[in-house]
Amino acid sequence: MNLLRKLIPDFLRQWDLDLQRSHPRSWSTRIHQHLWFLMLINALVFALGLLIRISTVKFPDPEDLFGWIMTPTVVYGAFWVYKVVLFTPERRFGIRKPFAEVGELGIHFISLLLIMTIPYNLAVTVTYRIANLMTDAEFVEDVDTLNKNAYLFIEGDGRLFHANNSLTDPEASTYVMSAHSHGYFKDLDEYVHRNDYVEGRPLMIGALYQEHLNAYNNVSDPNSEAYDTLSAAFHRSQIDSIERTCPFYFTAHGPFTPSYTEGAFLSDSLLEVGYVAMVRSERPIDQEAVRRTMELGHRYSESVGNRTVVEVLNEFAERRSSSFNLSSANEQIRKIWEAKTWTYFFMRWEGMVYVLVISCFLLAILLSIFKNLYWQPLLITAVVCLLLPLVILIGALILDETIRGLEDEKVMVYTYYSIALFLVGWTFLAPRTNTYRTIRAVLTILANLVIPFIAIFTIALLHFEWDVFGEEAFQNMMSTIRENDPNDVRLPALDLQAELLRQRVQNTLLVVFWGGIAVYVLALHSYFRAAYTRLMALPEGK
Amino acid sequence: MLISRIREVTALAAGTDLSLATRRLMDLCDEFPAFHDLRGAAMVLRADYNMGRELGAAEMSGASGSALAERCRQLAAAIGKRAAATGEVIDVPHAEIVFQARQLSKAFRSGGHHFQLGPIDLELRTGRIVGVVGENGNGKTTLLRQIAGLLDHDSGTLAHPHAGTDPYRIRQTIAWIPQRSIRWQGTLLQNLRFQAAVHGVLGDANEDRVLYTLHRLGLTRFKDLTWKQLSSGYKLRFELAKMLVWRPKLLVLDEPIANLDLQAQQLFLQDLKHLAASARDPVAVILSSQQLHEIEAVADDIIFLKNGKAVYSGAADSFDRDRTSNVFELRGVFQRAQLEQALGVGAILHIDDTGLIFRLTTPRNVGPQQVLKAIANADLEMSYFRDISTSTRKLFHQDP
Repeated sequence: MNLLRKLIPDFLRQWDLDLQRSHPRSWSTRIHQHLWFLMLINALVFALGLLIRISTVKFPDPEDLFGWIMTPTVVYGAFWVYKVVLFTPERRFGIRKPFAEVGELGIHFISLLLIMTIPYNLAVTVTYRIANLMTDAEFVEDVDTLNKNAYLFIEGDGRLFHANNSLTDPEASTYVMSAHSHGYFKDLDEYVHRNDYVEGRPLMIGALYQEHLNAYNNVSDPNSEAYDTLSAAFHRSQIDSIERTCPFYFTAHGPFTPSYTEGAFLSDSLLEVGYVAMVRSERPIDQEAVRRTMELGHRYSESVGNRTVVEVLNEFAERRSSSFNLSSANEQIRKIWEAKTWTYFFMRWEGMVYVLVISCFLLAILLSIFKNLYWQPLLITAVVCLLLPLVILIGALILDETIRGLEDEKVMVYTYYSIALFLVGWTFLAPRTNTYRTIRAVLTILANLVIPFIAIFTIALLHFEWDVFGEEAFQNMMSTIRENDPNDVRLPALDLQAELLRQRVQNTLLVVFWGGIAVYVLALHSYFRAAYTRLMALPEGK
Repeated sequence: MLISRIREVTALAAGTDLSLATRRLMDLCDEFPAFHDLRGAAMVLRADYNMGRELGAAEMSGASGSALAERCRQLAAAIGKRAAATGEVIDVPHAEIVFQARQLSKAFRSGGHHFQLGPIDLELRTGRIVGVVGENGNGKTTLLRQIAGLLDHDSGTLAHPHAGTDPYRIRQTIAWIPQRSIRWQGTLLQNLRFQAAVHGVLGDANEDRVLYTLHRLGLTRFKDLTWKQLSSGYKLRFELAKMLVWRPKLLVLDEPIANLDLQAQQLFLQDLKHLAASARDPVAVILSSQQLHEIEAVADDIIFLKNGKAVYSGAADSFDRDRTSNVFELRGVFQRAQLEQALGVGAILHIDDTGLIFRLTTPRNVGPQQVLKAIANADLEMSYFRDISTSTRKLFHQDP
């Protein structure tokens, strides 16, 4: 603690003193010290983010870092909560100002949100550094180069091979399979039109090859009822014939293109066009392009191996599996693109708004309650909140089993709603009690937690269970029309109306949700704070 | 009132009790607006005294002590001259009723045990100290918790005329000091500042009030200590300081001096008495204790609880005024027979030998002087003597 005191500069000490003397409620939130220490911590975290070793071949996953730093963040948060609850005007029966209490709630809420700058700082710093390891254009060019030359570095020899488990188990069956990244085609035309197969025509070579392969696997297995050595020999000879006479062509285009997001990469179609043109031209393979591709392999992976261009070309010419492990660069490329596009769970705005903001808001309410009331009812409330869902779930499952027609989900929803309504009722009774009892404090806390969300709970229940907006009925009507006549002329207009209705319902739910929170903050928070202070001041009933 | 206070301070300054002299000088300058400009000088005097105490007792008995005493006398004289010159008349503050209880009762049933407190009638006024005494388990803490608004009652009525009926407002005027100090966080200084600020003492006034209180109660050197660094005695003084900075109307203390040494008890009770009788912010004080004589010395009224009933409730100095006998406690190097012989048969109504002391009951006309004289004449060696004729201590020995 002495070390912490040394970190506080003189101006902050003076500010602390002024706040303590003249604005005790603001002082008790420790917002001034919180901001200062957050600044220091964030400076350290930022420095850590800069010091972490980052290169194209190796860097930590920002999501992992986010999760990792949450532990010290929670420790800091707990320490901050401890400091915040030490001094409370209400616990000392000091002067109360309802408006100041709303401000205090706001400060707690912002303080909690600000704590989250710690994990964001680290994760964002590292992400930014990863994203800027190279320019986007450079990255796209690298990926395109790798994609264009990927056919030279195929793993697996492209020929039938035995996956023989007999080394470890003599009784095990022998199973054969082909390399998945290769295809056997009669010629380049068949390769180009490989996806244009029409029912009834003879199978293409690649498909035929696969059929013989499957058949061979079936009849060569001594444990299979279809076991037949003659048939096996036949299928094996067909397979060998295809492998000998039909050159394989590359089938997987763009294996290095990050699949989940759009970018300026060459599409699979363009890559195929280029590949086909190259094969058709029968020009010798560009050795400089191979060297460049291998350089890129080294750039993005430590485990590609050391091979020369000649070795790679020889392996390809002999249709052998490439010993230059280019695919090992794939994961790094995906991760760099993830950083460039900020595709992380902690950057999803829905998550930020609904998880972060709502959880911080609830924590701020709990903190305000804790500053206003004894710790025992809060602890009991926490236990109730943990156990109640379990009890309701078990009760619902029992009722579901014993009473016909009852659905456990409905039982749970209506039980929760009944409890919520009871707590809303208690909200009006809380200020009328004449003695303090722990159970009354617990009920008041629970009511406090339910009140901001009771409006959205009600409207959601009316919507999903009672279809008050008529959305479900509308959809049912459209389904009926669609079933009767899929080409009904009314359907496009009805689709539009359905979409409008859906948007209206969504907007209504949003307005009710935020409205409930706004009403709580502006009016009901002070009401509850008054109820707590009253409870704290009441004599204990024994 | 002012004149008597000035006389008191002048006398103290002339004597040797510099601790009390400096404290009373501070009180005087703080309580009467006419001397507010002298508060700083009084505070410096007190600070110097506290500093001297820190340096050691020898320091205060030497030249520094004499110089300090002289400064006290000079300040007292200055106050006296100012009072005479201005001719300001200060009325004794009206004793305001801050708490009233009528037929207050509370019953507890636990297993086969049944205990009922009350019914009790009680009135607490500012400027007066009420002592609640009685054996353990007779309802002292229960009564105090009810008065402090911590425990509900079964029947009867409670009223806080100054605060209305809002429980929070009522609690805003009551300071409760339990037997065991409730742990607080932060430093003493932080707590005092916060305590004053949340009760509306803001800005420079806050600093002034806190510094004044720290010096007044001799807590300056402890200001940066935390709860666990303070001894029980200083924790209690801190509780008093916490109360001094916001000045409640009613102070409720449960066994406050139980863990204090004799000197700390004296100091605490002195401060309590001065605080209660403050000319500016008088406080109603109710406290419980087992140290009967100390409480009787400081309390204006006494409530003696026995089995939950108030067997005595009234002024401390009028207890058993109409008695027919006197009761004395004595101990010495003599036997019961020697005592009987020394006093003579007619002077003794009853002698109770507890094994530790003799409790002697005499007719009303046999007073302490006669008893002491008889013992001296008989050449008996006596080590302890106390007249408890007008003390509720007698009630401890009565059968229920």
